[in-house]
Amino acid sequence: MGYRKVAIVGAGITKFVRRAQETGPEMAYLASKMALDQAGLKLKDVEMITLGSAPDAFDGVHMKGEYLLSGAGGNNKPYIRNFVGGGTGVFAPIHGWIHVASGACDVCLVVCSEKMSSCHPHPQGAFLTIFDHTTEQPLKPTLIWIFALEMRRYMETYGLSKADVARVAVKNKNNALDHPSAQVAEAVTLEDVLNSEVLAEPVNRLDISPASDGAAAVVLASEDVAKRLTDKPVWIDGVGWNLDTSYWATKDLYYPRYVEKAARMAYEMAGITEPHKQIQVAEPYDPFDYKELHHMEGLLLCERGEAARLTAEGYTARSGNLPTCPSGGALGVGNPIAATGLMKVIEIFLQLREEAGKRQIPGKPRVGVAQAWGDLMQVGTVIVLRR
Amino acid sequence: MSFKESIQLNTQLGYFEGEIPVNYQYTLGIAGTKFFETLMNEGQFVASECKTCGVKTIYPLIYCEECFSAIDTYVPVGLEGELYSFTKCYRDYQGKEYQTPHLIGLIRFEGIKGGIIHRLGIDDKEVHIGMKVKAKLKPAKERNGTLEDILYFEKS
Ligand SMILES: [Zn+2]
Repeated sequence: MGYRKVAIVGAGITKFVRRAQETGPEMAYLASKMALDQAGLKLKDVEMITLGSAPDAFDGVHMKGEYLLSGAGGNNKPYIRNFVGGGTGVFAPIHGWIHVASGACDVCLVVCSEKMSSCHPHPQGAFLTIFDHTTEQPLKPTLIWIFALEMRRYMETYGLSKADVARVAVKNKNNALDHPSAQVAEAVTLEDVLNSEVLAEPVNRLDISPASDGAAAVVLASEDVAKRLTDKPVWIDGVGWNLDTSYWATKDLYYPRYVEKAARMAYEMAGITEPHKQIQVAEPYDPFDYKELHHMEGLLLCERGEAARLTAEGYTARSGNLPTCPSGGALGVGNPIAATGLMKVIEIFLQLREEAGKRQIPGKPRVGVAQAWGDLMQVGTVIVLRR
Repeated sequence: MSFKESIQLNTQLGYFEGEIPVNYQYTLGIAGTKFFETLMNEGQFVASECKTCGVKTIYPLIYCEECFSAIDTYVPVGLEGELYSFTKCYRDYQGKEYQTPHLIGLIRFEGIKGGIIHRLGIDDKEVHIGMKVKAKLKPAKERNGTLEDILYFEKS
């Protein structure tokens, strides 16, 4: 299709924590430096930089792209911020891919940094103004009750119980016990999740990922540069993104068609015709447990309404046929919005290189998919990686 | 567009009140903590020093903007610098007139990249670019490790 081949050649990730002493630029630096070191590159080797970060209101810094600039190594270089809300973390490497695939540069650094702990008393206050100012904001909605509406409709459509959904939280929080960056890894049981505090029916506290501080970065390189740098390049085979209406109340809620459209775009580019057979590992976005199920279906990794049954059967465990969120996901590793999506891409990168340590899935996976979702429940961002 | 020039207030057009109901608690960060703790406890400024390329920066950073090396070396800078530029301001950020105009300056330090922006406690007939200035700090026991530990810069 006229695109140049692009590989990930290095990755870095900070710890995800509820409250970091580091500032946003300091976190961006730590992740960027790790990624460059792993790639065996200096900042002077980087030609262009793209930075992903969620709404400015979390950090309380307008022009957050500029605020994070020097920590992300962007001074005096072609640098730009990319943004699609919660979908940003997977869009950021897509944006970097555009830089390299187009021939604009050979080496692009992709950085995502998020500091939600500045926001007081809670980032929910900042979320308030993503809702329509006349038709929704007067009710003072929280994200949780908006998701509760979506979760209930999803459960109702496919006849799912709370336990069917909660198994995702159990899997991911336990998976995260093996992730060195994890904030909320816990050996929780199904009973723990079901008995945790009810926040907005049917959502309990352990159904949700936490607010976090953290950063992640990857280095992208064109084919010849990548082959010179490493004998284990991981290729970006397909990218897709798609936005559905901002009038979210008009959607059916039980199926994320925008994720499907993004996935189809990425799969077509990657030559994937039967995703459930051709993909060996997946990192669907899981800010809530039901969202992993929702997104598995949107990613066409299973039939609609089947994701919960597959989860219960162990199909998505690390030892299963199609491991999902072997990292521990947002539910276990933590959810510093943009950095979370990139953490997922990094997990697929490590799994395909067989460098995921205790999290390594068996069977020498060759193809993986990472996905994020966000804005006003309307964006899907999808990336397919191949070793 | 149906904007009506004769209407001066949104309240005449049909409206909802809104706000972003948060405030912020910004952490000082690693290098910022070093700077403000030293200011509070030792009464002086510190710069970060890159061991790779030698560049010193104020306010300090944990990384070198020039060569991207990690930094954990901080060097004392004292309190004296040179006035690089200044302005006399008459209104605050909401357009309200100050009771007395504020004199604000950018102060640089010899051999150091960057600088400090602060109030000037200098007669406006005397203020000029290039003059030597020195930070006037709060008394040690009143300092709390913030920018307000510096009262102003005065003639040195
Ligand atoms: Zn340096």
